Amino acid sequence: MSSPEMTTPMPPTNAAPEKPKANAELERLASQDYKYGFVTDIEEDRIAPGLTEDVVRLISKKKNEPEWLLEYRLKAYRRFREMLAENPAGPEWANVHYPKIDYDGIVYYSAPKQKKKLESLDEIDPQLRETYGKLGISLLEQKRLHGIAVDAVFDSVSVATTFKAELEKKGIHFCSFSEAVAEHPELVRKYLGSVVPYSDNFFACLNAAVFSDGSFAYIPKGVRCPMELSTYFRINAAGTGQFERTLLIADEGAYVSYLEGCTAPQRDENQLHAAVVELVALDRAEIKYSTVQNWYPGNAEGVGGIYNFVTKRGACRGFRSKISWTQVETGSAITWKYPSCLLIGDESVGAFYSVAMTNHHQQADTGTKMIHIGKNTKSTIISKGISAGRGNQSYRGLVKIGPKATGARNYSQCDSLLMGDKCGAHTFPYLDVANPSATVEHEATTSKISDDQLFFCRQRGISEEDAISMIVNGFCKEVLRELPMEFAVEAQNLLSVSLEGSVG
Amino acid sequence: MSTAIDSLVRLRERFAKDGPGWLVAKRDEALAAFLEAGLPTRRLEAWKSTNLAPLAALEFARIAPTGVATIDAKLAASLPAGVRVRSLAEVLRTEPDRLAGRLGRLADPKKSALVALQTACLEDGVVVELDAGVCLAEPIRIRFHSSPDVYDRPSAAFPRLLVVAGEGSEATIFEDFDSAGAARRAAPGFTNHVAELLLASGARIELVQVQAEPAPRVHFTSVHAEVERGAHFASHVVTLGSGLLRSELDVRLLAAGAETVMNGFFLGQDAAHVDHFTTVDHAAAHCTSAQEYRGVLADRSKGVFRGRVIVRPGAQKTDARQSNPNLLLSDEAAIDTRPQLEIYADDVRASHGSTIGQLDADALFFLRARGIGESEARVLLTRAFAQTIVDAIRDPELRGEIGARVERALAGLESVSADRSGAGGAAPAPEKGGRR
Repeated sequence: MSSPEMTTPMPPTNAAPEKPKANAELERLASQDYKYGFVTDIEEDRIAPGLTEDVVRLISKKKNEPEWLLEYRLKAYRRFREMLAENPAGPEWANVHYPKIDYDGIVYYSAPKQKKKLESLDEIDPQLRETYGKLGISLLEQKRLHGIAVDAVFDSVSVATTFKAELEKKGIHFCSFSEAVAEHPELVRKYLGSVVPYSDNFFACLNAAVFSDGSFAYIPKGVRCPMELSTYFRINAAGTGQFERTLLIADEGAYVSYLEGCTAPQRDENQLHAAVVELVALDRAEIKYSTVQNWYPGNAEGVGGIYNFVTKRGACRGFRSKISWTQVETGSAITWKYPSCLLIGDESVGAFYSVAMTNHHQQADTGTKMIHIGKNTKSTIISKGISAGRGNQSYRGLVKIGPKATGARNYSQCDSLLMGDKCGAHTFPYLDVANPSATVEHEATTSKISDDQLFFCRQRGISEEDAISMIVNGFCKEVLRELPMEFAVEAQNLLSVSLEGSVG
Repeated sequence: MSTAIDSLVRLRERFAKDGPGWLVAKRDEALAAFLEAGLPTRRLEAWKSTNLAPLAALEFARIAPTGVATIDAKLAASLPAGVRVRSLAEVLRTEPDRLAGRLGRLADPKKSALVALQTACLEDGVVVELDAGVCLAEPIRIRFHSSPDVYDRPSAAFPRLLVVAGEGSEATIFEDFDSAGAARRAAPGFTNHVAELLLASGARIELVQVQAEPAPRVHFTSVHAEVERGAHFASHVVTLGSGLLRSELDVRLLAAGAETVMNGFFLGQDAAHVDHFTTVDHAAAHCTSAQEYRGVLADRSKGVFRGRVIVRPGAQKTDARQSNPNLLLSDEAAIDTRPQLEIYADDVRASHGSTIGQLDADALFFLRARGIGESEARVLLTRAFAQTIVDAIRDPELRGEIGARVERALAGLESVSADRSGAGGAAPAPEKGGRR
């Protein structure tokens, strides 16, 4: 947050004397900028670290899963072992660097201990409720005030879903993934792995073997979901990984807007988060998926932080179906994430709006894939990268126009803003076009905040910090305006917090 | 190991021990690097879109001595003092140590398997030396043509070019890879060409390359240039062949004021596979690069463009531009394009753009409204699309000559002039079946 004593700007005499001040400011802010770094002391039910077939069976058993799901997990587990044998370091093509992960040293299941099945939200462990209160998503308050249905995932297990009953009246199923397996097995079985197959990639495969919970939503034909659905993910326990799985199905003509938020405590170790999100949109259905990712990014020296290796993909299966991804990525030590759209139905539409921010030693390799298969499909990619400190980030996006995708249209724009001479911004677009009637455009620019812009603001009595925050918000405007209201405010705050003191 | 590798390793023994010791060592080192890496496969990111399997299957009958590289004799006789254009073999024979430390300085066998192969099989080529301050008005023409006898059985050619440009020197070098009219009886073969250009401060070198070897010959070119303070390197690549081609260009800007212009036009016809891979490395502050590669893909051809722009830490005030517009003319043509920016400095201007599309429907309409027939209008617009690149060639005579060749190649395309009014501008209506 910007400090009140900064409101009287120093006259900008010359640049040199400003530096020490900015550095001091940076240090001051570095210690305060991650406000979700607390740990909740809560009894947890966790299994021993390690990845074996028994662990997979144990997770499945703990969740009372049917046989077919266990089979699915085991298939994934075996494939993962093969992949690990082929390539013990995991995939290396991304422009990120990290020490080898010991996949046998991770705790694959950790859940807040609960004695009996919860009857209502009021029975949730008070300490847990308090945690969510600190995160600003008091489950009960939220219910009354905002009209957003929330599914909260704590470590690996979904702890509460609000508004469930009201949604059910409209025929909308919104619940934790485990509940969905128990209550709507036919839907889960039909769609699980249909967008992201278990063998899709290294981390998706790991997830398919050991996923513990996540959110599930099904919007029936012609229903417009009356409220925003939201999931809040929180990693709490030490030494664990989080592997959640989200499955969202919008049946013909349905509409849903879905929000996802993430935080984690401040720890010196790196924790792995490998999630899978699958979206299915049928004829004329629309899914709007927004993420504000604020996992712990590690400290200023690059120690600790979450490895966020996530596979997100949506399939526009029907005529005119539409999927849009909006993401604000400010957290995580490493982000490796490519929310994608398979545009299968004719005239389907995919969109990707992203702001990625890297500061200190953060690394991000993120982007999207737009696979045009149907006729007259359209996609838009707007990616804004902000790199400060020693942060490094890459946009990596694929636009593929299949030979049958007549009249396909894509527009991509990737802009990077660099702050400081130690950071990096990279762009790796892949445009593969096999249809002559397609129109594909890609543009990328790289720039910094110009001295003129800063001078203009400062001359008008705006402090340097505020000016930077304003310019950055302006730079990201096209993406931020895609976010639902509540998230847009949070995202803007996150951006200014992560950026303060990064220019000097 | 593939048949191709076996046969080449065997064939190179004819000359592997020839020449000065440093060269023999270099060849052996390169061979070791090549054998370790093997022929590139599509598993490598840099070769993802290009499949060299047709090459791996060839059994080479001979390595053509690079006597086929002919230097324009008229020009050679009239060269001013301070300019030497000689065959590589001649330089190695008369002054064995002259090129040590220069030949192979930029083209690193460890970084590219095909460069390693070229170095391992290096026998002859062309050496151009320009003394400080020499300006050459006429272009130096070098023609590498695979003569008909070469085409009877699979043969490989490993021509090399080394240009050492002294301070403030100026020249245009024209490399022509042609088939000498042997297209009809072409046999599979492989041309692997490496060019190295060392530009001292203030030098201005223009390299013009026309690659028009027909299928089924596989063509690989790798150009490496090092540009010192205030020097200017311009590269013009025109690709008109119908076979499998990969053209790499690697320019390093080493000191302030270094500039490069990288232009390319590629035309894919029949089942051609044309792959252009450029890298420009801004290693110092205050350097400029401008890149424009234009592609026209017809018939069943496939185009690939990958352009890397690297701005190293500290390379402030860099100005890097890159653009890659492409025209797809046929249903079966395809293009993969990967413009890439890797930026590690903050005070830079860097941009890239890439487009893939058809001829502008409005422009077509404009011409037709003025009484120009559909097919003629299409030819006109496609020519205009290519002409931008040709026009950038400095030497007027060369410009005219290459412009005419591009025009001839475009006129020969059926898909340019064919009436394609159904598939072009307006998108067809969606299918009706099964929709509400």
